[in-house]
Amino acid sequence: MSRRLLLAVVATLLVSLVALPATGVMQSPQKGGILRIAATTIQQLDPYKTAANDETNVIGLVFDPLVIIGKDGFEAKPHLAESWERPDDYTWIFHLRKGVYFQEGNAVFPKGARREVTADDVVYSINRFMNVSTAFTIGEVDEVKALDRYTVQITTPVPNPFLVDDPNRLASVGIVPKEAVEKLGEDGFAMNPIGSGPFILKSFAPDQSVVLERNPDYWLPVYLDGVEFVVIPDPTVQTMALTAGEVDVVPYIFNVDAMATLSRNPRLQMLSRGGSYRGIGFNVTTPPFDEFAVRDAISKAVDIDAAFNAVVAPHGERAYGQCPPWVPHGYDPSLKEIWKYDPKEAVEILNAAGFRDTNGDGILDRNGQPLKVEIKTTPGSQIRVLTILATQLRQIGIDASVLQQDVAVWADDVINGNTGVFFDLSFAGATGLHSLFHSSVIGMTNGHYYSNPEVDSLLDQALSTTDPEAIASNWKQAQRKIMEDRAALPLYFEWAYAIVSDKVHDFVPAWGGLHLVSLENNVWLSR
Amino acid sequence: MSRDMSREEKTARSELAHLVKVFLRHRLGVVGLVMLSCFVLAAVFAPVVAPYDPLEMDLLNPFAPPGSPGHLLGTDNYGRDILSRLIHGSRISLLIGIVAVTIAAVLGSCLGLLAGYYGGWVDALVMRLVEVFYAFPFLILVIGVMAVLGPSIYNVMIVLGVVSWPLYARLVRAQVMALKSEDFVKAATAMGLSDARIMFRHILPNVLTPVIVSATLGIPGAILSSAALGFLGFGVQPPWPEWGAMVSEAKDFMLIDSNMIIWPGMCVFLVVLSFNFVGDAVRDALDPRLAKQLH
Amino acid sequence: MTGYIVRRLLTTIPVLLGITFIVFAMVSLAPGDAISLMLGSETANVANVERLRRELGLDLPWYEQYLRYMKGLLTGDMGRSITYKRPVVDMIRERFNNTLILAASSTLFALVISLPLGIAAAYQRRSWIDYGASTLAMLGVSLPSFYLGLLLIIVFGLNLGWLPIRGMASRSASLGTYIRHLILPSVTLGSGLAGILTRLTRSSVLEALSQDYVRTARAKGVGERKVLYKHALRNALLPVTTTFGLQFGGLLGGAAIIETIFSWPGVGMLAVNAVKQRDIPLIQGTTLVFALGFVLVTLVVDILYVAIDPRIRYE
Repeated sequence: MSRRLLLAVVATLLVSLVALPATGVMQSPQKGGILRIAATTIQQLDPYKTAANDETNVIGLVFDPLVIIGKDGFEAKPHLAESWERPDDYTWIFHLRKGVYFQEGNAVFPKGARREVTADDVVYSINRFMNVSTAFTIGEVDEVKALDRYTVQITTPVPNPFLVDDPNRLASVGIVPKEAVEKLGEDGFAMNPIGSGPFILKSFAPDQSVVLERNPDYWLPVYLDGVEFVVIPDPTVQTMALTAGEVDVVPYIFNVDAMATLSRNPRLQMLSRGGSYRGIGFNVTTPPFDEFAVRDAISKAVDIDAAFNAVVAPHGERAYGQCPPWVPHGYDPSLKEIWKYDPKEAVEILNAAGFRDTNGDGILDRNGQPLKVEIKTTPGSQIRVLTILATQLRQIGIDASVLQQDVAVWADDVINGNTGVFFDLSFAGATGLHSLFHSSVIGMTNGHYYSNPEVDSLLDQALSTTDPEAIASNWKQAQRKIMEDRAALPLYFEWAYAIVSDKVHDFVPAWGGLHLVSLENNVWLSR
Repeated sequence: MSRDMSREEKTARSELAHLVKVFLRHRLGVVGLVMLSCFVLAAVFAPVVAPYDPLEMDLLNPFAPPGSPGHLLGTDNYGRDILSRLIHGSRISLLIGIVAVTIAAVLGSCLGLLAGYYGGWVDALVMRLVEVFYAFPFLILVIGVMAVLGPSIYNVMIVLGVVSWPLYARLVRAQVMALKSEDFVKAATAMGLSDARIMFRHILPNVLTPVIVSATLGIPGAILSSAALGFLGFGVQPPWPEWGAMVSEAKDFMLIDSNMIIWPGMCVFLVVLSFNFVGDAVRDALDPRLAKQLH
Repeated sequence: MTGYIVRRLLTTIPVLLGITFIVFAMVSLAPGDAISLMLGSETANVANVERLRRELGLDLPWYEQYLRYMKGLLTGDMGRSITYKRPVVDMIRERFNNTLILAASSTLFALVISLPLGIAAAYQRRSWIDYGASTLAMLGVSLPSFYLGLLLIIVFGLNLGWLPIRGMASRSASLGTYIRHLILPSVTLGSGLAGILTRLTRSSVLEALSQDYVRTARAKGVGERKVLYKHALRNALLPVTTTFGLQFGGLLGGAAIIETIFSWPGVGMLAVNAVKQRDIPLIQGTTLVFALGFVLVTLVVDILYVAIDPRIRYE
């Protein structure tokens, strides 16, 4: 918990740094200006047909979701829904804000149409989301129904404790008008999105640029005149463009090494929020990694601290379990005690398991088979960490290497169990443990092929209760069990950063969609 | 018969001497040869010449500038010695260039031989295939096949070889068609020799010289392509010090340290340049008419 | 002439068919697919992904998929990108012009550099112009384009700050801005071609100058200028034209690299990304368009050949 507190303090500090210029006098927001945001690829803007960060960012500005994940902490805050309640474990009731209108001056809603967002729109949107989205799910739902013009009720067959707090569930469902989808067609809507958000799409050239302008009728004041997304596919070039002043925001930094240079630039702010879990996963059904001894020996043979300090620090935190600090119900730094760096003991364990260098080639072998570890991974900064770890494994006589794969091939191999050792990645904090280790999702998201009835039952219990204490204790027990089983070797949590020019104020990095105008923040530019 | 042979041998020898003489007159050719020899020596004796293990990391000393103590060309982001990586990289690049071109030449020659010798539908089939391969933009095809096979140093060789065969097929086919009407082939056919024997024992040796020359000229192209593949991430994979992959890795650190980018790209450039110099000289030596014009 | 063009067009059909088949077989054999990529995401909606797989026909055997694809192709439907969930035709249409502009400006750059340089070098053989031209040509041929591109970015973009290092200018930008954005990518992509054409122009002009008809013309007292333009150049252009046609494929392939380096929103970059994501319909579409473009250029070159060379007549 203290870690989380520290994070919150750092975040607050950063935010106050933004708000307070060098003089220490609070500046009052200025109106006007176009905010230019770098993007990697933008192909379509149907809010339910994407998993790409950049598309999600645009969508977050054009559409309003019911809730937004708050900037301090990671809990849902009101947006289109003014409030919500849970009469019982299976029912959610949302009370909508009145007087919110869909954007006007387009092919569907002419100027002055005054088409209000109502409960029917929310029902339509959630149903469409459940039917269309391949990237996200809001969990099992029995029924979504409008109780009156401004009240929506969602009933679920099992309790859904993460429905509002998980950034990938309700917070990622922007409300869409039925007429627009029907009139423009699925493809047309993806090119001409119409929502109720603070910015209206003005022009969209796929993979070149998206230009948005202020929605004059928005229910909150909007300071910016508009937003332009500039597509720059190469991350290095994105940071160059930012340094050169061609864009104001790089919403995601993927290269931790770039942080060192960027953090020295006084005209830039580094804003951190959330991040990802990165580790080494074992397919516990592939020999010899089906043996606990082998997995345990590997975990003891690598000096993760050294690799982490060389590559990632200070832009992340060492991980000892899968749950990141921003997932309070699972974050468990006490897991540190179950890991140990002891290459000598690693060799002893392997020797005891029958691995010896019988042919003098410097590689341990058993029954004529050398002990081989090929870590399959996607491109990215983790390659450097994995390369260091592989070098350490070689030092104790394991034939270790890193195989860089295209992301589609890596995913295919991990899902189909065509791995022994692989790079383990997770962005979904709240439910990641279930996705990665529950036996019901083997062959889908559980690439560890890990199946442990005890863990399954702990996770199932956690996901079907609303008692926060019970969720936390079940979740942490399951995590400890998985880690003690060495199904995975956690490496580190890498912070996600948005890099923003010092002209930009009140910017909050995306978390389940980018929001420039909300009840919590309102971005403005100083001239 | 034996007297004939010796006379042939003699003319061959004097021809060779003449070629060497013409080649040596070509100053850039000599420069290229010297440069190339350096690369070849570096490749052959890489473990002896290189001051460090190319994969050995020194995490406390990344991005050392050129001229740092112990690191002539500095170190990369892992603190690996750039010079040692380049030296070992010359092995990879030269090997890929030579093996890929050999595969292409062997495959293309065989298909060209069959097409030229048999004609008819065999010829039609091979030539249609040649056309299809020619219609592909080379690099796009290579990337596609690499996706099928998966990235590795051997696959780079195989793919570059398999994709470049049409050039040799065309070359050999044309030569074979011309040779088919020559007396010695007619004689061999009349003697009832098998097709395979005629093709490989009698015709093939006569078309070998142009194949070998164009294969040599094809090596720099193969090296360039393999570097481009490495750069795009479809070729040799890290941590192996393939030059193109090194440039690609260095690109991520362009803002921090441009030193990492300069050297591996320079190596690709110099190897290709030296091959081209040598190739030019060889071409001049072999083409007396052009040689006369030049000197 | 028309008959010839029609015949040539007809012969490209089996070639294009062969290409679609090879690409399809290639991608079907390749490990990994875009659907797995979706399933691998921890948040994926498995039921919807499986439905998408069925809708796209990806659960069918490959030959049925191929037939389906070819049927669609006849009606101008190239399928939908799995990753981007958009019609492939639309995606290519948006980017096709960009690649064309880049290829054209690179070609223009190559021609503007190589023709005068090659002619001057041949005409003033063994002068400093000749040596300079040869050196430049050698540089152009030997420099890996990705390396040249990065060097140009470092020097002109980062250190000097003279030229933009990325992307196309927006549609509303002035012509000047537009051209400034074009310079670095075009120079990078065109330099190889410029090198090849310089060498070729030089040697063809040299050869033409040594021909009998040139000597005759000179003996007859025809002015040097006229000899050069009327006799030597015209004949020298023939091999240059053919080579250009053959090199155009290389130019298109090179576009994939250059577009990636300079963030140029063209078909080449799309193709590279499609391969990385195993987006089968998109790989098919981009490859086909590249091949088609190349086949068409070869055709145009062949026709140009006829136009330049008065001795050849296609009946």
